[in-house]
Amino acid sequence: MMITASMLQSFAEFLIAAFIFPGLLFVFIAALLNQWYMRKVLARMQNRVGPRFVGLFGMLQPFYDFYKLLSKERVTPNYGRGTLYAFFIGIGIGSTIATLLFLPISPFRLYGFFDVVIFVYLGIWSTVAFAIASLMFPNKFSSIGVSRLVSLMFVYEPTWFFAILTPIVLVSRHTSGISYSVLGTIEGFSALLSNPLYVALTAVSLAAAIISLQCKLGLQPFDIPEADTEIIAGVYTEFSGAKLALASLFHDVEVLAGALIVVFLFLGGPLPFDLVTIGGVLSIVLKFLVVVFLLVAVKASSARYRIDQAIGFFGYPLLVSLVALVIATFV
Amino acid sequence: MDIGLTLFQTLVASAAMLGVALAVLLIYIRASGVKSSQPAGDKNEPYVGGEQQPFDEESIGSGNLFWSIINQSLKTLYRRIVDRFNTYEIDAWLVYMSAWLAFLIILLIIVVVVL
Repeated sequence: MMITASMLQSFAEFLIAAFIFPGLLFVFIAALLNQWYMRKVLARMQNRVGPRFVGLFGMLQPFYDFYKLLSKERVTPNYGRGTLYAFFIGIGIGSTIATLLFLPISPFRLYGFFDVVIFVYLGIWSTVAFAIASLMFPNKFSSIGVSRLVSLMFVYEPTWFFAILTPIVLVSRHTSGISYSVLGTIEGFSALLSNPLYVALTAVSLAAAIISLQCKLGLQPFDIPEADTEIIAGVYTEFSGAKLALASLFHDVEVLAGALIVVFLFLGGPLPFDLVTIGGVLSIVLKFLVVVFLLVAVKASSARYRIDQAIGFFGYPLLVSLVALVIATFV
Repeated sequence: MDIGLTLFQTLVASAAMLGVALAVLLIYIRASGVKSSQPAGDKNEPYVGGEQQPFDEESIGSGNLFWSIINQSLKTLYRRIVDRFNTYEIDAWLVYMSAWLAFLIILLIIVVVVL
């Protein structure tokens, strides 16, 4: 097989997409800035001031926290596997970044028929990788946290899947683009706005997606795997120093990617502007901030569910998203 | 449905996932050289998940684990051999050991004489 210039070019684009934009570097900066935004909003809701001293309005506080945690002493309990832990957290961050390659912000376009399956597969990997990483340290509280995480995974992942499938099915059935593809759905999103029924179905699945995202990110009321003071810190119990830095970075990356996916699949991304215009970028950022604000508002105003209450509660969004998907399939 | 394209995508996505994972691992390993700007204070022994004494003193050594597997699997064979040969009489043991020693002595004489 000959190596042509176009192959070299797509390889360079792939490297840029995986490691610079929207890859590791961009995700690192954007996720930590988003952490500052979440902390600031949460602090205002709780009558606090939030991060304030490092950088402009405390914007560099998450960066300083990250650096400080990296420089701390490394404590690994007996039979713990620190390096393997870092690898699995890396798998989690990597799979989350790989989902971003399906969005149109990536210079390396990854699309094809039925690529939504790979998209969801990568999303599940991030949770599984985090569970495995937490199990790298022998601790009863970690084990309880992981068992709760996996129990929750069996209810919120189907909800998430049905919810993101609804706009994809609608767009694929009513446009002539690449069918059942994430990129094709985003490009043909304006077809959803042509019929009030489509808008209603998308809105319903948007609600289900945000609820399952809240659970996927472990924010209140679904912080059951972490469950501060109830099971010490659950899955986070053995994380300290550099390990905690990686775990917190992974959480921020998940928030960033989850909110971006919601913005692109349910809110039309850059609409009503084109993608590579100032209006388009501002539109994406604004919608992103609104989605994150919603997540934080729910987090600030609710208390933790018990695991059985959470699983029982998830019957409603699961049912609603499934019904929306079935209607979308036949309408 | 184009299977080839989907397979290619899976490979590319997995490559991105693995590449980033290795990059994070590298950062984690390299970051162990990052020095804290603050002097280290008093250090306590790390509290490890509630156990009262170190795991090493409570757990079974790996060698013992190996022999316990051998013992468990060969137990029936051992019992069979013991039941077959053991008469549970001290005289039988004496006869057996004398015969065995005599055999060894004869073997020794043969070896010395012949070689």
